[in-house]
Amino acid sequence: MKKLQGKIAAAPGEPFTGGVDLSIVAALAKIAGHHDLSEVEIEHDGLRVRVARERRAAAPVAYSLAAAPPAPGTALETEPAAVAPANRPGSVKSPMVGTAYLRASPEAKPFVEVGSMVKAGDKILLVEAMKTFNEIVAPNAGKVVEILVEDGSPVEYGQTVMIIE
Amino acid sequence: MFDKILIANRGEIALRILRAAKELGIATVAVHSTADSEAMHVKLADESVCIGPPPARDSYLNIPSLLAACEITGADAVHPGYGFLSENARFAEILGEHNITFIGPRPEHIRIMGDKIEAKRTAVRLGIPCVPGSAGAVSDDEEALRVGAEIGYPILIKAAAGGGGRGMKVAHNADELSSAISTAKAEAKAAFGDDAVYLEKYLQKPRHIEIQVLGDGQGRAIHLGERDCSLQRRHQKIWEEGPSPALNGAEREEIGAIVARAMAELQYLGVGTVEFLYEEGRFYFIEMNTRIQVEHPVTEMITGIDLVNEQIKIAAGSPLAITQEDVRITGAAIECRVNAEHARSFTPSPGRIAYYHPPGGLGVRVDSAVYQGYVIPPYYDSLIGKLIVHGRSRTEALMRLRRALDEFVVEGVETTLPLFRTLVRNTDIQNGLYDIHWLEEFLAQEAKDEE
Repeated sequence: MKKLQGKIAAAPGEPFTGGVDLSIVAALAKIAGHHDLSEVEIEHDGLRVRVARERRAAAPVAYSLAAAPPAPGTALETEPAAVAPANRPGSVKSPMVGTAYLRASPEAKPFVEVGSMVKAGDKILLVEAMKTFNEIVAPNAGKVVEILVEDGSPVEYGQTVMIIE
Repeated sequence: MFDKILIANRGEIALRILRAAKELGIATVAVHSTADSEAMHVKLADESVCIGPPPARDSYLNIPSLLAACEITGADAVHPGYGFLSENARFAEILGEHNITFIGPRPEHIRIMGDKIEAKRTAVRLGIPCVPGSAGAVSDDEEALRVGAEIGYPILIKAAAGGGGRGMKVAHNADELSSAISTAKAEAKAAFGDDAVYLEKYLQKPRHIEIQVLGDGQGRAIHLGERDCSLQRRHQKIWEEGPSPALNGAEREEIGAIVARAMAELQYLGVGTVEFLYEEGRFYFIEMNTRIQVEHPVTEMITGIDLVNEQIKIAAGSPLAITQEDVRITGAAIECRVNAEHARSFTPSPGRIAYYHPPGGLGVRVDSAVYQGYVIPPYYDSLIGKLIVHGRSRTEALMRLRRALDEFVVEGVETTLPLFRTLVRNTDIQNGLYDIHWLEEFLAQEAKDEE
């Protein structure tokens, strides 16, 4: 809280403010906001004006041992989904480590898209490791409701790549 | 120097490797099974990749998975730690083919030392004293009996593909020899896939003394003193110390020089440990481990040399910057392997560590990856961590160890801490009067006393 010295003038013809020039309130509020102060108070000739505001609390610096960035390919951290994708019914998990491809080649159409209907055993993506391409097939019939990996992104064992309901 | 090291291991050694890499400014990749997602080193690494389900053969031993993890992270080196693939020559070769550096010896040296008969032959050739025994694998009973008569009984029958105390049988006289060999061969075939066995004189009350070596693969090699690892239960070391209470300076220098010269001639690359049985002033080579060992901190504490740091630098092509004259053994260090096991029955005790407070203070080091709230998985070894103390003398080290053990709190799982508290107060241990049978005899006596 800072104490400011200043003159307060009562302008004639202004709405009754008890002799207080309300522009001082506006000015104090502006000062408080500009300098991110929680309170500004000014006192002069027996008149004290205090402006208080809600400061957004500074984000605590969380020293966390879990500071490691997400594993390559994990897209889970920013999702507001109520249930983690891994636990949703119909989640398809990668059985191996490698690079996920959603299409057979760069020019080809993707195997599936969101909304595609699949049968159990349909090819849904490839995971490549060391120049060997492994086909991943749908474990159950259903509709592809979410694709959680990007074409050409790394995946780890057990990572949820798609949800087929 | 490497840009990124993939740590192909878990637990305390994975954390150890991570620390060394970070101190060298090298990026780290932690690979882990689903059971180790909450491991400390996984949390601390720059990147992590889940490589498989809990069973080691599907994760930590899964070479394709490890290679894929290297590929997607762009790691240019792999540190294998100890156990798992650390002495798998094929893994080292495959990494080489993919232009990824295996932080360890050359595949050919891993192979030579992995075959115990070949290792012994090589040791003899290099002038390292060996246990009297058969020249190679014994093919028939006649040959075996001849060797038996030459070297005297009892005789130890060892599997060529064994090691670490596994695959051994004793024959106390000529009558027992034939059947002992048959049994040993059958067991070796089942356990290691190779029934080749060789014979050695059975030493009655030896100590296990091993020499730490470091070579740069360019003909320079040094020794860093010894560790006495005689206190073993079922061939598992539980207490290691250096220097050995049994050796004097002259003996240390002599065996150290023999070993260092042998490693230089071999052009050995990396860290290694040459293991001996020591009895009545004589050393007998048993095997060489071509990896960083669990008990390496003992050597680090008495020499001040960071072995994992040296490993990484040498693997990156640096010549050995330390000369033998630079190596000074200062004071004494003792390490206790604290396991999540019942202190008397040794039944494994995995589970959640409810309360954890490790000891601290001058000369106290705890190499452990556990923390309060951590759940020890049941799929792997039971090592909670290693407590290592250093003192200016062995007496000071023992006092410090006693104090540190009393301060160490681990609740929620059973631990072997009570056993170490007993051992540190034992007169034989305090006087350094023990051999490789001492611990099992002590435990058997305790069990009898309790009845």
